[in-house]
Amino acid sequence: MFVDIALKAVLIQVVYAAIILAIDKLASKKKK
Amino acid sequence: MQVGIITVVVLYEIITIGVVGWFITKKSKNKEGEDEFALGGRSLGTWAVGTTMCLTLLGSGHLTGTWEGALTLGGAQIWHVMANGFAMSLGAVTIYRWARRMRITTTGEILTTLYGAKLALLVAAVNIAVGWAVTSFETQALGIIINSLTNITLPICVVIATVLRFLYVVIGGTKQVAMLNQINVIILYAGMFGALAFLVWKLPGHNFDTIRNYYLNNPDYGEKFISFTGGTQHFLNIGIPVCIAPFFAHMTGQQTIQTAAACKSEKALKNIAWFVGPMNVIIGAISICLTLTARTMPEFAGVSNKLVCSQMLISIMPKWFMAILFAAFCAAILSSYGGFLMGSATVIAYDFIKLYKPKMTNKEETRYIRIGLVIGMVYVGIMAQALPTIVLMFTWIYSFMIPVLWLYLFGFWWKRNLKVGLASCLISWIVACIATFGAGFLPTWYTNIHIAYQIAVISFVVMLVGNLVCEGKPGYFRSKEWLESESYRIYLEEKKNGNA
Repeated sequence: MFVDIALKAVLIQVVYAAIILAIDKLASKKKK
Repeated sequence: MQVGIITVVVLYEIITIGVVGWFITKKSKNKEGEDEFALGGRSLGTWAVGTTMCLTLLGSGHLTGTWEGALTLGGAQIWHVMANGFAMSLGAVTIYRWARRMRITTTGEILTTLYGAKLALLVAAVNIAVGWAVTSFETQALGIIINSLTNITLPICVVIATVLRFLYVVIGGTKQVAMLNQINVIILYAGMFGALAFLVWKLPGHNFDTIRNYYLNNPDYGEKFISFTGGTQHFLNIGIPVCIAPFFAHMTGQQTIQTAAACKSEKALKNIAWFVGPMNVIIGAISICLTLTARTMPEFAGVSNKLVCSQMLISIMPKWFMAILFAAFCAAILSSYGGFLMGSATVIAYDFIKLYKPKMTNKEETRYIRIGLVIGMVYVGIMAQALPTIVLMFTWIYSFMIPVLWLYLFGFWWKRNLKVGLASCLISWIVACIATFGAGFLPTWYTNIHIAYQIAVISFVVMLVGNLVCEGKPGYFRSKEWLESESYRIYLEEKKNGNA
């Protein structure tokens, strides 16, 4: 139960952060 | 009365608050620098900002609120917690970063720059209400902890909690709260993982299978209750609203923007995106498992949803461990309280008092913030006596901050029109109030649409259509005001040094 909820939640958060930071990096590269 | 546990918890708080307070006072004695009390001199690094933001949001919503909420919402309660991570990660590269770039202290200052003082005052007033509402939930949460330790009735515990919490923030300021958070976050994690380990060790087979089977075999709950989303319908009606309301509120609120504004550089701020989300959801997931386990125990069948988890912890965990765990809970709740109460008090001083005293010295600012803290503490103490359901109230009050995100986004990058901004806020807030207080007279299909959805859609449509139809000033970051400002010059310097 804990592994199911915690693992999914953490995974979603990490993927979400990675996508955001990747988009930010791409955007700042494009600006340069 | 758990005298031993109380002694350890009180000693822990006195030592940490006392030592940190003394250290801060000593360090800033000869320093009356820019924004020292409210912004910690804009000197905080990634870890300090990330932990402060996390612990500000990681209070009653993750602990007592989740203990209570998970017993009605089930596993989908995790989405309330997930919202904080979503908001902080995205905010770090967008709104928080842009706010810091503007060198502001309050959300009111952002809106004054974008739309003028009228709209800023309106939103600042709502921001204060949100901050005080949250601190009243935090007060209730600390009351629940004190109740578990002393068996004194909950309303009296709430009064004790009010006084204790006030001491937490009034001595130092943002920097003190930030320093304490770096200690408290370690204690909280040790305490929560320890509680989980103790519980798993006590359960048959050292896993949650028996708990899972209890809910699967109980017709009142079923499989969906303990699942991650609670099923499609439950997710749409409950999961998303409990997620989007805090998401918008934390993207735009004083509680997070003030901490972000204290960050030493944009680069340091962006890096918090990596760890704030996981840091938050782990605590929420542990809380959900603790409370779902507590509800299955027959000896606590008569205990209310609000108190069942803390009662279970007290009775099954060793006393020495409970002392650490409750010190950790108090630390998290105090931290959240500190962040929100400080946020509201800063808004009072910067957005309201400054209207009448535009040339305040740093000393005067600090005095007015402290007055704001006292007013907030008294008001919050009275409100907390009503003991509302924490997560439902969080969702409701946070929904009122939804239009502010549209105001920021449109105002930063597209167009600024005061009347459109005012219309967006007022129309959506009025509709939300009618939907809430007139629920008895309205059709069921309409009252079933959560106010978070209503406010999000109405405020966005008004902003979009209004700005398409009406004239307005160009977005702030595309305007001359920005390019000619001192903040822009500082931003260029930071960029040159690779910090932005």
